[in-house]
Amino acid sequence: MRKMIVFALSRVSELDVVEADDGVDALRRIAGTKFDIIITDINMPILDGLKLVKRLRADDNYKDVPIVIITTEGAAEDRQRALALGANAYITKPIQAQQVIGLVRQILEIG
Amino acid sequence: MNDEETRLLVEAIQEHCGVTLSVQSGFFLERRLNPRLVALGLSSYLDYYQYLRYDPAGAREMEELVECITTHETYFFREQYQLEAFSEEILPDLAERLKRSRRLTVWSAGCSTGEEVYTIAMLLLESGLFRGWNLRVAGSDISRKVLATARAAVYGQNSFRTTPPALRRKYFVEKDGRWVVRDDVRSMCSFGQLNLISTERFRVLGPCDVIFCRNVLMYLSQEARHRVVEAYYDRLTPGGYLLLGHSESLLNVTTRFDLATLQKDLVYRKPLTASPPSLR
Repeated sequence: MRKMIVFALSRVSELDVVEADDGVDALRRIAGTKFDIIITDINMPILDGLKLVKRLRADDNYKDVPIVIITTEGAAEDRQRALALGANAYITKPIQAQQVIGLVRQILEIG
Repeated sequence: MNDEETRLLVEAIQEHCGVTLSVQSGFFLERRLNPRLVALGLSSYLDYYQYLRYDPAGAREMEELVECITTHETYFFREQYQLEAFSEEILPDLAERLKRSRRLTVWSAGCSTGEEVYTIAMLLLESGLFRGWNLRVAGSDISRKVLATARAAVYGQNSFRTTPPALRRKYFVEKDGRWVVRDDVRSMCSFGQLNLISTERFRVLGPCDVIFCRNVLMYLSQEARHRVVEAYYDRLTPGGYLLLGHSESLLNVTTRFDLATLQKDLVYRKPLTASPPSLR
């Protein structure tokens, strides 16, 4: 699924897409670079999506960057917690490429 | 363009992206930048310099300037002897050394319109050594225009001057007289805009096993070259390779790399005993 999302987004010519393996890898990669949007699964090894959202919101560089979380169907509680922690939107699996692209375009206001 | 205007522009360019032009490059700059003066309605290169420095739109114009002065000439399977060393000597070494993690990351720094990135991906597939591995080929360039071409992955005849016809048939789909890179190759590749002197941003790439930086360092000042190469060293995994253009070397840049004598090429290598990329 991650490959599909990365591939779909990287075909949008305005976007530079950086892929990370888990929450810790994501934090390492984003340090030093400004990102316009972050998309994360809630279920990840080492540092999960909820903890990642919390860490990002506590960081001055990332307190306002839009965050989209990916949850499984039925995980309403996870969604609520993520939104309460500061995520801006969510997508529920199963995911279609067009759905991700549409949401990203809408959030970033690109044509 | 008078000498003073040339000097100011040369300095501004070097400061922005490390590219070093001689103070005799006035004619070159004038030829490349005249359309920008016309587009902005400016009457002199001093006005243009001041626009770059002090106008709120100056930072964006600097990107336009870089588009005008950089060379984007490239094609698939360029510098064949080096690619043979990559396929026949470097990849088998990496396949053996990384067989536990089964992941391999290659970075093409200064990838221009993407031919090198897709060439590397095709060579990884052709080797047959990495089935089921997590393979990533990342391409970066300072120019957003060339990256848009790279992402579109559609190429004309000129890009194929040294491509074996069998490989073109295998990895491309013909469409309206042009050739589109097949999806299984494209899905291994990603592209991002990166000014190489912004070395603090290199960590977005994660640890790299091979870095291709061919015919890029030659345009940088000695100071920028040193900084970039040190940052490459940091990004590479121990035993990782740095491949430069055939006319480039690390002489007078750094002594931290080992010079590895392969059958088909001389390449630079981070010592196996060195530290892995910093995780800060």
